[in-house]
Amino acid sequence: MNTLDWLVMFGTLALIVAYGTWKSRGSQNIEAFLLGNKTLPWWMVCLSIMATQASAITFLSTPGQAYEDGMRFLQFYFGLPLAMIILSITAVPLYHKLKVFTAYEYLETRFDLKVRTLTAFFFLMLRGLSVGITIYAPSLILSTILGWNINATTLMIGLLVMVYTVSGGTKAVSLTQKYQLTIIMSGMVLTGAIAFYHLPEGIGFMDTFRLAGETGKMNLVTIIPDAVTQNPELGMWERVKLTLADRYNLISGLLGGLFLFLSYFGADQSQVGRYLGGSSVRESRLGLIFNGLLKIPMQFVILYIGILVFLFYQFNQAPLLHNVHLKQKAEQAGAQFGDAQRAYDSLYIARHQKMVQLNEAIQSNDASSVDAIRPEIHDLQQHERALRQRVKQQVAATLNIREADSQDKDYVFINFVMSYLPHGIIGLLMAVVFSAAMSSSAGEMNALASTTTVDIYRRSINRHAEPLHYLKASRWLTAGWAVFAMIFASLANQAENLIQFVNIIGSLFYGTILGVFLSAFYIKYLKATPVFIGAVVAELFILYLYFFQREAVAFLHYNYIGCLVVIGVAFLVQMLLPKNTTPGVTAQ
Amino acid sequence: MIDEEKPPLFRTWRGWYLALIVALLAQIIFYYWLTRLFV
Repeated sequence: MNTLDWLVMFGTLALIVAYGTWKSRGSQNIEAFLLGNKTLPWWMVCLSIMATQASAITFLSTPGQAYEDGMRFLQFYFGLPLAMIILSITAVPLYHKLKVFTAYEYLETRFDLKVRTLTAFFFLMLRGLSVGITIYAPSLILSTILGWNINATTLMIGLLVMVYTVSGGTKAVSLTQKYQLTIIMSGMVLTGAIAFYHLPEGIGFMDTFRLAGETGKMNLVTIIPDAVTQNPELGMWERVKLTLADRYNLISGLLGGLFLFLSYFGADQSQVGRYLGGSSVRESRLGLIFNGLLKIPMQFVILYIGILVFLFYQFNQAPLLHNVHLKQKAEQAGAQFGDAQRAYDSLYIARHQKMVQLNEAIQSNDASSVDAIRPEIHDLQQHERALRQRVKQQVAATLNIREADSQDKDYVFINFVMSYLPHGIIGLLMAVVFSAAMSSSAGEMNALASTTTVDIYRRSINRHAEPLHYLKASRWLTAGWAVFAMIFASLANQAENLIQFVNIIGSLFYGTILGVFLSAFYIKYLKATPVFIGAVVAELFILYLYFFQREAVAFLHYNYIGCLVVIGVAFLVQMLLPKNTTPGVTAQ
Repeated sequence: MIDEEKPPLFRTWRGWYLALIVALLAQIIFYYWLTRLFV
């Protein structure tokens, strides 16, 4: 980073924060602070939804995911458009009609206070933990890259967000997200274009698909996991088990993804708060529908940027570890990588030669040469993977850390940016990472504050204060959650691959929360107490699966398992309990 | 005459939802085709 980069980075961030704070100044009441007075047009609702979902981890980790594992992560988002339709039909008109501040407020209308409080509590648990990760993940990576203390990066992100969320509330969040998302997407596309530009002469854009396919990265849609197709002798039950344990395939994406996104967008206040800011049912609905249309292509673009970086490194030597700072640390602690580096160099020379041959064969449409070279490249790739794995283990053993393996993926993209992008653009990309961290954590802090104020403080602790008192309380709670997030981020230990960790935390609670909401929307028969018991049982069951059966069931499946357990147990309890009829508001 | 009173499909919410489902299916088919084409 040189002076120009620092100027671009701080200039961009300062402008966004100043703009958000200035434009949203003077929120006089709680309605304005928590819902932005319900004035947003559909396109701002859509941008705000997308910016809240896309955290810095999305942009740092997703290209690395494609680099290592190919494009199949895309399937994770296949359930999203279906979730958008269901929510547009049910949740949006209901929330608008009841004029609620939070999704959990509705649960008291439909069930009772204890269901509302329990669900709000689950939300505060999952979002409170993940807002820390939303800040921690980029802080860790930025501190490594910039050479800062991790607490400095955490403080910078946390304090910048605090400035405009505390002063301007929801309106400031969506106003700033508009510009943050623009900067993020232009920075990402620019990086992809630069990676493509650096490929050897003669490789056209369509050739990149072909090269990616031949190197095994175009696994966009996988119906049956490789482990099943490669072992035809497996029994039926074994096949089902392997398919269930496979993280990303068409079934887990459509089914698990549908339930995950139903809960994320229907029952997680950080998203409900975004579309409740829409000026009417129409604006909120269109915001969700366009999110459903744009999300998968956007993820495709981000993943494909990872593929372009991967192809770039087929013709230019990648570092032995992308997290170069971690490797240096291990070297300082006495680890020797000389032999590994030499083996890696000669592997690269061999693979580079094969890639050049493959490219020539593709250019001249020589199918038999392509077929001959493909297995050789796969073989070299496997050797390289095994070698890098050994180095990662050596680093982990030397530094006594847990997951050197998964960390490296998260450094692929940022390391490429730092090594190959021109000055000025590097500063812009740093602003991208900070912006992404800020845009998602702002939405989350705002939602945490809304839920704590409306569902806990105003409902159960202090019921009869002046409106101005609740506005002040919301501001203090926003600041409080920001401080909590910063403390959690500073204390957080290194987790598995970061994006997956955040998704896992979500899946631990989302199934249960969704079960409660689906019962509320669609199953008039179910009353408060059975649903409450169902929710408690479901949450215990999911925690059991996570802690004791982690290898058997992939986390995406928790989303519908939790949901089904809530509804199933609630039905059982309802049948056993004496009849007690107090009809609530359900979806029409 | 009843038909004339109905708004065109794309002006209704049902039309929007249908468009979203068609877009999703088209994308899955397209990505599946890409997968088969380049693997």
